[in-house]
Amino acid sequence: MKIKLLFLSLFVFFTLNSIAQEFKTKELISIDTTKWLCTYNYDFFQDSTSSYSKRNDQMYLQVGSHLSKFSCVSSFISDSILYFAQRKNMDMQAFINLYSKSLSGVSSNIMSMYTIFKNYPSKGLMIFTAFDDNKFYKVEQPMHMNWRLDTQKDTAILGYNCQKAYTSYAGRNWVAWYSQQIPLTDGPYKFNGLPGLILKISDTKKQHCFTLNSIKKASYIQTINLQTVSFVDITAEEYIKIMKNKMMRLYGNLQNGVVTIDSEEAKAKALHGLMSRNNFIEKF
Amino acid sequence: MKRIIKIGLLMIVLSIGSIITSDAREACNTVYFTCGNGSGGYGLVCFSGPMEYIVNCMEMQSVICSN
Repeated sequence: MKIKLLFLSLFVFFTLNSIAQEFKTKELISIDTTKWLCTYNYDFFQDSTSSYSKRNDQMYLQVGSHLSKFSCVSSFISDSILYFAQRKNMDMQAFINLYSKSLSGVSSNIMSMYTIFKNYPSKGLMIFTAFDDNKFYKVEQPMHMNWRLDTQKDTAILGYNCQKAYTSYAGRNWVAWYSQQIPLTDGPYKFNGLPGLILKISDTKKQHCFTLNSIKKASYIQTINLQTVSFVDITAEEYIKIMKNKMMRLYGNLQNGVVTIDSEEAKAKALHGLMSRNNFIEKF
Repeated sequence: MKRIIKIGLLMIVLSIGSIITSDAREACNTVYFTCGNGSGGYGLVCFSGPMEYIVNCMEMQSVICSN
């Protein structure tokens, strides 16, 4: 009887233990499959008061069957590695080794470290997700945008015929070029709803500009993944406040030695960069 | 009596299991980040799972590479 009990105890112990390990590695779930993969160059001024603060990031738009995902290059690569690691049941150390090799030399700006899912959690809605200090945040909002189409103006971008459209969004006026030759009512950032893919969009003061760099049909099965973490619901305005606090926290990390940079010149540049990031894409 | 012992043992095992399940001990690694221009720096990355590791690395790399 005692032996029976011991076996039962061991069985329950190991079952719970294995469930715990599996749970810890399932931090991403697949919610769609990429049909089209678009890359955009994102040129922006991180400091609204300085013409020397221009930065560039590469952004990815994955368009699936019923939703799309827009993220920076760091998120895009990290996401792929984590999903791969999960499928291969890698342990943490193996994941860290793979991640370090894959992300070496690749970095994104903190101001573009967000992910936008359109037509998620349901058609007509979108979520904007970001993180700070191991907390994950989510802004849920309707996708609807009011556009004014100008069919008289046209141009060609990457060989596609494009028409012009205008909108006002989150404190800025925007000019977009879209192509009906690519029948996707999507675009970079939160922009959507035109009768063709947005190939270029810029605010009228040319502070933020997204330009299509490439578009291709997915040649292999590439999942569109969502984090399974618990998100804290916030508004778009609260996101700006969180980002400002984040800059302060990172500034502190750099000053108190949690982060060290090889050269003093680079450190000074980094400190200045953290304090001067004020030109968020959305203005309130 | 036997039933009580059985339940008691099971409770102990379940408790150990729940401790393991909720165990989110934070580990910290000092990581060297390389920038595209060849420069770099060190950052202390603390995490309790791969997602936390990723987001903290992304932040550190962005700061170190002044991006």
